[in-house]
Amino acid sequence: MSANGRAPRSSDGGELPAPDFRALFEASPGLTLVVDPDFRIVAVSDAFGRATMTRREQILGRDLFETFPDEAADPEANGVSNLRASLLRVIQSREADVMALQRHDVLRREKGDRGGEVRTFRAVNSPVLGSDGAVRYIIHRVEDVTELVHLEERAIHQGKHHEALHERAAQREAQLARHTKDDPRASRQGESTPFSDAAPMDAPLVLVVEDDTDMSAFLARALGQSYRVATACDGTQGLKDALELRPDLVISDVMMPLMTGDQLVAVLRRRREMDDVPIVILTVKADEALRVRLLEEGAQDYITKPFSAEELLARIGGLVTRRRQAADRLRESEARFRTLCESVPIGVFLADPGGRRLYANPCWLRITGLSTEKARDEGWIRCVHKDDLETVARGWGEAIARGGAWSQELRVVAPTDEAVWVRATSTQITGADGRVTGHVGVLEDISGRRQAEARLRLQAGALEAAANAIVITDRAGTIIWVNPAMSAMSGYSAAEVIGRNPRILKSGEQPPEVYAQLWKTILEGRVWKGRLVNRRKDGSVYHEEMTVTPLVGERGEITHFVAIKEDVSQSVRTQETLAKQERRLAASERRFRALLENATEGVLIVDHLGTIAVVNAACEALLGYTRDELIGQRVDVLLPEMTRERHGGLGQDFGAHPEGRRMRRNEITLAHHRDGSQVPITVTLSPALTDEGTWVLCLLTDLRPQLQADKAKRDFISTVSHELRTPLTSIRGSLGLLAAGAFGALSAEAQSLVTIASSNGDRLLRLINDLLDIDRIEAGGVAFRVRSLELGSLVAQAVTVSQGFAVQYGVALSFTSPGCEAWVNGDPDRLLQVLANLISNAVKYSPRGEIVSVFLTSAGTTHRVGVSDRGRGIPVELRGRIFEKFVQSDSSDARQRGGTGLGLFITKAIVEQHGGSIGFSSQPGAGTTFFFELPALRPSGDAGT
Amino acid sequence: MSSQRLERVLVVEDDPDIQAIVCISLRVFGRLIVGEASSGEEALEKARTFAPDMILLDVMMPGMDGPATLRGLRGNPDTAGIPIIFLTAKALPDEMDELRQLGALHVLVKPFDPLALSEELDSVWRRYQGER
Repeated sequence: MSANGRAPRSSDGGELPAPDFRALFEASPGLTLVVDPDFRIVAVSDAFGRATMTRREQILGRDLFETFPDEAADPEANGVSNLRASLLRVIQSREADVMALQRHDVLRREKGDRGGEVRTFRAVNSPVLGSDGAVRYIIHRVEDVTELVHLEERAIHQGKHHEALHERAAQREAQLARHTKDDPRASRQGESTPFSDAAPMDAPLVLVVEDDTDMSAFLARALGQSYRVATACDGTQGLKDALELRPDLVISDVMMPLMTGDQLVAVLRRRREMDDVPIVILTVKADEALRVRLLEEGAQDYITKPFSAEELLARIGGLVTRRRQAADRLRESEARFRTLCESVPIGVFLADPGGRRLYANPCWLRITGLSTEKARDEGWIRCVHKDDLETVARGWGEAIARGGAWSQELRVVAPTDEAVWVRATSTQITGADGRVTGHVGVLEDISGRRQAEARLRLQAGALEAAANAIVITDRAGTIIWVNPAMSAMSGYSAAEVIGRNPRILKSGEQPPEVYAQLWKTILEGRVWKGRLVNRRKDGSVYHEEMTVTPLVGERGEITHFVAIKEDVSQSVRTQETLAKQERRLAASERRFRALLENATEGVLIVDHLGTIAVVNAACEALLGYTRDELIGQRVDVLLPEMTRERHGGLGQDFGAHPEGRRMRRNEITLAHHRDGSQVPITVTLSPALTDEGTWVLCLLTDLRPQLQADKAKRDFISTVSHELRTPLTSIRGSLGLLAAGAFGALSAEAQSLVTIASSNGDRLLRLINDLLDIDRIEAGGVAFRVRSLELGSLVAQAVTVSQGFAVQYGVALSFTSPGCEAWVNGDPDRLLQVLANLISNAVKYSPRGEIVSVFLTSAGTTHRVGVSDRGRGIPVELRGRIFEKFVQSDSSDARQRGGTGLGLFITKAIVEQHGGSIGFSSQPGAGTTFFFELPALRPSGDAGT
Repeated sequence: MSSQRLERVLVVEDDPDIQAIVCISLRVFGRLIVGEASSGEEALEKARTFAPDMILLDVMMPGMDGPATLRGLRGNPDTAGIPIIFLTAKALPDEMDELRQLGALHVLVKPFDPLALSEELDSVWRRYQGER
């Protein structure tokens, strides 16, 4: 489009001849009608006539409402009805009045016969005031706002653009109002408007800064079809409009009052919000230096006057499009990044260079539990855990101060008052000029990781500290980790075994099948448990109990093996020792059993409760019971009923004094046989102290064979005694009667022979008596008739009895009595036998004419009787055997002394049976004293009876 | 029976040697009237006809032995009150106890001193008289 033909102007902006305003008005593209205050039509534009299909000459001078009837009832004519009201408001207020939108069917003839279409119109009624201030004309201008309304409708749908469009519409209205009312040029040049009619509302906005109004108008017209255009009349106004309207491109003249174009460029380039807006400078002459300077200041291009509208459009088209595209890309990028920011699961924040928080994404707010308001500026610090507050404040403060990166793990206190571990990282952002423009950072919730780390530390610590040795290998069996217990057990340090195979521990003492089975088991994913014999680093062998567990990965494949080992060498040794002991014990038990079973004596073992626990074969044979019948029974069942009670007490006595002894010493025990009879036995008791108490081993000896033998012996002795005594009685009796002169005196020779025969008869009798005594003593069968007796009298009696014998040997007997009574318990006959024996010995071994002294002394608890001779003494070699049987000083003694060699043996036995003791002292050549001592007895009332 | 001197003793002994020695001893040293029997059966008869003050009775005799003779004598009212002294070579203490328990006044053990025999009988007799 070219306006040159209709608005010729000089390129330097000089004065022009007055134009034909009516022609300009009528040719203007706007739909414009002018009426006087009486609503008569005084002017109409061609465009209005075309739009209403009226001819100017037909309607000029006519009443507006006659020409265009105002039908209040017709909804379609609603706007016309409003026209009268609007016109009346203009007349009254003398201000412009904007009418409501109207819709009309119109024909689009200019673009070919495509039929009618509904278009939307907005009417504005503006007053033209006369010099008296009254309204002289009213300009009724109708604007086709179909596109604008469409845009608005779209904006309603698009939401976001709604306000912007309204704002722009309002701005446009304001601009329109300003330029039509205030700008004198607009009044003067009715069609010169800052925004072209043709350019859509979202067309790029071009700000024209030009002090030459013609040039400004030209530019506005030239650009108006494609751009929205705003104009400013000088640099200062241009700067103000630029900052306010934020144009997409600025076209500026250079030479302008107040602020030149190059100054404007410099100022705009320093404003951040305007630093990327293309600026095109209009220059008059091709001043190379100026162009260079302008380009350096930041202008994008320059156009040298004069220029054509095509050149202008071509020059700025590219710039605007590129900037638009760049802006779109930036917006899209921003939108993408914002979306990204809003949705990422990591907290993102932006801070200004001073560290004040500007933005935080939803995740950041969720982690910290802060609201947008609370997180702003310095508020975010309140979410930091109090223990981390100081380090965070210092770290962040240093990052701000030195402008570097910041990274720290810290705890934030979530809304649940729970401390959440996070990692905060920030990096500073710098602008193109190198200045710090802010900080961008992320906040990552690492509580899960922290917990996992803590768990791992705990688990690792537990493994390290475990008492059991632990080995972890990979699938191939290569050791990748061992704990200290493993090193202690094997002697290999961790470094020595890691990377090696556990086979280094093999001792070679186990068959390969063991290891094959182990591998087979664990490669099948099963747990292997067993014992291995391994070798330590120092070569020693140890036993270990091992459990190998396969570890499986996410896909179920075996990744590692974990072996837990325990050194059981000590336990194995103990078991071996125990087994050995058990074998020994079993062997010992077998031996014991064999001995027990083969023993000829009956054996019973009775537990601490008196229950029979063990019975041997001999015992079964002895008592007629099987062991099954006896084991578990009370031992009392083996005793005749009448002795059971007594046995219980004796059993308690034995428990109190457990020592081996014969049961019922000196008595025969009668045991209860299964057939009801009573079996004479002796029982020897041996205690065995067990954990439970004292067990008793009872050795049962069958006395029946012994008793039978005893009886046979006794019968024999009795018979022999009788058979020997009977003839001896006759011999001694006959000799005695002869010697006594019962039948007259004998000759000396006869008397001598009778005496010889008589003394040998006596000797034979003593021998018989002694042999009988010995037999009784050895059989333990000597029965004493013990009573209390006075020893002194007994000794005196013995001395008296022996006097005759002593006389035969020419020996005198003396008896020294103590002068007080000496009572003892004793068998007087036996004690007389003792005394007679000692006295006769003393007499026989005394030289003729000597005295045998018999004495009795008392020493409190004992009484001592001694018999001293003055013989030759007992040879030293005989002294140790003097009380043994058949011991005499020499073999001739027996004949010479008439002894049997049995006297002292019997004497000693009798004394000891009385609880006494016997001894002697002897001086070779000086004599011998035999003595015996008996326990003293306090005399009782019936003493001597 | 009033207290009196021992005069008549019946000696029952199957061994004729001992019978002779006892009788001689009692007659010579004790001046006693001695009756003789060589068996238990004879003793029962003699005790009734001889009417001794005391009977000296051997234990071991063929046929009716000493204890059986004692029971026989005790069974006859004519002889039941005559004190009896056993004469035995079986000198084991329990044997002597058994004889005493049969009711004998005393037990004399063979061999005996023939010179002291009459004195011993007299001593037993006097003790017996005293107890009555």
